[in-house]
Amino acid sequence: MSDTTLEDRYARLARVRPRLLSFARLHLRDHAAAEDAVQEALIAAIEKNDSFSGRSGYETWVFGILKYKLLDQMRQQKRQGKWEPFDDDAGEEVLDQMFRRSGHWAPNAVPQSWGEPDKALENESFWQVFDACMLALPDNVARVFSLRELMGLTTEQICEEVGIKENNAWVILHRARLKLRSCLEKGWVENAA
Amino acid sequence: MIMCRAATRLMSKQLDVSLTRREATLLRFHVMMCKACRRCQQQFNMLHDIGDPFIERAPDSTEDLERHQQAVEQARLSSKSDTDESNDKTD
Repeated sequence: MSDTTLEDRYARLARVRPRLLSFARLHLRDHAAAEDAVQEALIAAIEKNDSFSGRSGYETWVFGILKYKLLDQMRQQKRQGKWEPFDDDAGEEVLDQMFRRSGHWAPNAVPQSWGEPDKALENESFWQVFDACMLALPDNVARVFSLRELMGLTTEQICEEVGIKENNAWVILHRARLKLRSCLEKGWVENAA
Repeated sequence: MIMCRAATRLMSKQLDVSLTRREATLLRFHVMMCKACRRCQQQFNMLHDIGDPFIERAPDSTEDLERHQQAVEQARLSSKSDTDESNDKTD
């Protein structure tokens, strides 16, 4: 590979690095650990440069490398006993506030229109609010959500990684989605209007 | 008949696993009649797809690019391909 192409790859790595970092931070919830994981991913991407086939986009390929590193880091955190135990009932009270006893939405929790939700994804302030909403979730809830929706693991794989039952995973994901939905609506949609 | 709380549980579960035919029917029927739950479902779906746009479309941060260029340079120096002595750069 010629030097100019390599230089081009390095420039693209520098441009994608901020996004790699925020992805890693969302997942690990630890700035230093995120920096480490991203740095390891960059080194791996440079070393394996020749094995990039061009079938996917270069950035997607780099993100794939980062995902492996993040899973590694997460397993390490778990082994080092840095995780709180999973509590089945945590977060249930939030649902009790969102819904009336009858099972209908509580008046102040009824989902509002987000306009065109897909447009939100191109808006920088959306991502800032998303970041804040993820941080507001309890560690374990955020971890399961992130494994499912950012890392793309199946609930079966998640159960293996974190050691919970599949039914647990569904309960946790349900709460996570409801909380994130509500937090995004308060922080982004209502402020943008 | 299911209520909104149960409907959100099913629409969440549907993103992770196939629902039974009965669950799917209950959910479809509820969502058809409930505007709030239709919105909720649309928003859950958006959250479900949030990983891909994150990679492809999340806007670049306004942070200093130089910092990231330096980090890439460091990674390059730590990588095996550049520690090769015959390839040592003097500039």
